[in-house]
Amino acid sequence: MSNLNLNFYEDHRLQPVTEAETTATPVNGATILIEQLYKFYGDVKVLEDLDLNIEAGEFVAIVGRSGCGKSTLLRLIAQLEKASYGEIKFQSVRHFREGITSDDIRVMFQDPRLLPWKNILQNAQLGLSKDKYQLAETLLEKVGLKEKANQWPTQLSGGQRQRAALARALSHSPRILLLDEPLGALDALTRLEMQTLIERLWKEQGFTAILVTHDVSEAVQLADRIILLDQGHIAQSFQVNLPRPRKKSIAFSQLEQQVLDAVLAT
Amino acid sequence: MSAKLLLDHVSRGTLSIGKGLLPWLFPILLVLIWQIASSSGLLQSRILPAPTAVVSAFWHLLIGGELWHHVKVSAGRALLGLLIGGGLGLILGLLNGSSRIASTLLDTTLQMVRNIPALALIPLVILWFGIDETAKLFLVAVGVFFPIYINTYHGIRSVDPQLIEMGKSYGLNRWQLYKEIILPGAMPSILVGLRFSLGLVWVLLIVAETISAQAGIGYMTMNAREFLQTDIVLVGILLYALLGKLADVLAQALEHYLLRWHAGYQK
Repeated sequence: MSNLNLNFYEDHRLQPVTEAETTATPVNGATILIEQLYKFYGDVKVLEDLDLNIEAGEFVAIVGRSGCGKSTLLRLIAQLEKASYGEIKFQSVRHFREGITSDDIRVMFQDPRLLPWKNILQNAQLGLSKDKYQLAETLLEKVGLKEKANQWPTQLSGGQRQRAALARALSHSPRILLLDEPLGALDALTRLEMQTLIERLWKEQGFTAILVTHDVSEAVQLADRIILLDQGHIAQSFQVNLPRPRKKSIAFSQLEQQVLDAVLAT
Repeated sequence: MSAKLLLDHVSRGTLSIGKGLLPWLFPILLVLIWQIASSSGLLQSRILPAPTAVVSAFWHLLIGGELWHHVKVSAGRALLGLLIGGGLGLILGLLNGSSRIASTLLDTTLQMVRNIPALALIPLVILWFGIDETAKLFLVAVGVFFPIYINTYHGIRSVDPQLIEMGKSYGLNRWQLYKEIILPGAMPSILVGLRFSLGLVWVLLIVAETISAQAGIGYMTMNAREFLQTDIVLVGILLYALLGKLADVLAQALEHYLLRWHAGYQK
């Protein structure tokens, strides 16, 4: 019992979003315009004629069965791979003239992918110029890992490692954050903590977020819009109009069931 | 109660000392038997001198400064040979591990040459370099080249591609990618290569120094053989063992420092 309680109190450090924070959300995010996107691996068609517009600062979740192309879509947006055909365009809302480069996009992978030979702080500072090292420290503090800054990644728990990865991603002040099932391997309680943390930092920093997930409940918990992918194109799209922070209500459960049924039907 | 506790501690203490001594029991016994066999005349000093004779020979060589001179020359050769051979192995391993073109071009050739024992080159080496320093350095360098080359190559190739992808997507340039991810990722493997070559250095050096030399442990040993000074021969052999162990301890310390992030090296 005592163990559970400890975790519970740790959770409270990652405070839920307050009303004031919600209204003060800055628009840092970039708009993403995807037009007629195709991706082939050899003869296998993974994405087919996909059109999708994502607004600046929007939180979009992409769900679907394994092999529906959701991770591929994320990798294309992340510019880790090239599209076979079609275009992904980025637009900045805040500064119209300013282009969006790959430096404005950061990915959180399924594994934390921390460098084992660097301590947590050095990991969070990866790829930053020296004058921005302070930012990494600030973010470590925000994810609750300030005391762990000098430890090696192997000394941290799975949830702490993903939090370090989140701090590393956000140290770059991205305009777009791509989340490739980053919470898939975590236990239920840690996952809830992480969801709260991600939502809070998304509100605070105002980036555009795209979350690929297997977990429909997680999608309903976090997203403004849920996109269901099936065999490389969009099967359905759900708008989530629940007030944040979201609690399990009847409306929540109904929507969750509705999305789940749709996924199962594909 | 407290007396019993104290007794417990004492007995446990003696037990742990006993455990620490246990591995040394057999060697000590062996030396003792050896000493008894020698002093009783069972073992002729021409075959094997008494341990006390070996110790006294060691002491005389040490006092005379001769020992230090030979060790210095041998260690210098080992170090320089390792530096040249190991350095080249590291550079080529890094090159071939990172570049497909380089590895296609060079790896087959190197793998072919690798199968020639370094010591088989001795006749050729003598013809090329004569019998001076270069020949010895060449032999040592060729011998240590391959363990370091192969392990570096393999280390680079087995760096987690996911980490490299992450580095690229986090905006690292080529040099940073190398410095922050590829090189540290290959380090455990490179260090295995280093330890392997350190073991090899002494083997090669023994042979190289017995061919012909004016100084060095091998020379000292061969010289002593001419005069049937078995005690000095034994000092030479034991010196190789000692230096080999010393090198290994140093390499291990380096490993512990460089791989302190590794779960296997954390207390």
